[in-house]
Amino acid sequence: MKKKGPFFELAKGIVKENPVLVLVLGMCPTLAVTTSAKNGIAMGIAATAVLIGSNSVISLIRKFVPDEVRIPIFIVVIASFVTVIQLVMNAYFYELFKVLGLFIPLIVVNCIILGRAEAFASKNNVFLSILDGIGMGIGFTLTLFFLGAFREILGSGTVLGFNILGESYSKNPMLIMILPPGGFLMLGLMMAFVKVFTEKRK
Amino acid sequence: MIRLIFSLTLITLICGALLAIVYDKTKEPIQKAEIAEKGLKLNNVFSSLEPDNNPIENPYYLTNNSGDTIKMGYLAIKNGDTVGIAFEDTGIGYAGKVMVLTGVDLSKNCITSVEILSQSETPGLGAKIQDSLWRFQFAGKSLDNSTLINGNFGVLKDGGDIDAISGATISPRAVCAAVSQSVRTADTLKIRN
Repeated sequence: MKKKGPFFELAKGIVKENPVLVLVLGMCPTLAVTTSAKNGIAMGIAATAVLIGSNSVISLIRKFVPDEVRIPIFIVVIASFVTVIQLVMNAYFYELFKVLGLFIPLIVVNCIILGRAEAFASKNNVFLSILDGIGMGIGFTLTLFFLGAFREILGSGTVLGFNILGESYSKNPMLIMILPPGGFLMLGLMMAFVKVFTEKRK
Repeated sequence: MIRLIFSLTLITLICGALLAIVYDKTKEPIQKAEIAEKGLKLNNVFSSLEPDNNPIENPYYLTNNSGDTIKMGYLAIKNGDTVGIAFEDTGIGYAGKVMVLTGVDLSKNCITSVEILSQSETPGLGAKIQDSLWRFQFAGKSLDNSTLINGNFGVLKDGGDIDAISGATISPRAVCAAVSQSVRTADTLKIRN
């Protein structure tokens, strides 16, 4: 494999190796929280914070960690990060915590984070791992934002709480879009769109 | 082998210690944030009564005959008179308990306002019970001036006066049940006075 520059490691997570739409990781939080654009952004930012933290720590200790026990060690590091973020959020960002509280423990089982630890951070230096974490985080956040925004437009007629499709639509919206089936529908459409887009560029 | 045990133990020890430190440091701010949150909601509930006390500092304990506390409420005091009381009650919603704070105006004997303390209803559907426009319907209502369904406030679909939320009837029902419970408690209080 050719060695790629730092910019590539940062940018690849946004479209080319988008964690949700291309790598198809982290489906549980993706589908569960994206009933509105706001939830999508908040979940994305929280996951990005954990991703950057866990990637850098795992990259830092990668030479010290024996191969046989690397998975439990990664899980312990990730779970600790998530708990620290949850406690800090609960203490100092209570408004945000009320929105996200339920979803934060989901980050532990978000396979994007373990996936990046295993596939990238355990093999690369701290600088590149942080860039990878930022890139993947941006990709995750953007995907969640758009998924949430599309579902919110169709399902409640609003974006970020602002009514854009008019009173009459929000009185009788496509409710299915904010229910679980709507999540699958919209995610499928977005994946198809990204697939067409990347195929064409080849 | 020794290396495996040693590294795993060391990492878990470090993480454990870190968690203990963070837990200890955030314990107090978390408690403060939760109390501040409740105080804020209490102030909202009583805002129309313009109390001159801080309701969260004036709890009221409802006791049964043997002296055990069975319910805790908060009092709104204005010019030395108790003008309102708020109770917390729960209703069973679509996804578990819905905790509701209901304020009662003791002179007019009607609801001042309703706040949702905690809920886990479907976001975008049942969770709309938190919208102030929806909750506002309860203001001014009492058990005497409303159509009651089995002695409780009811949603339009069941023949009551409370507008439901399209796609979610169970969550408003839960709120109605909790609010009715609180109002009944406040009414019994009156009889004792």
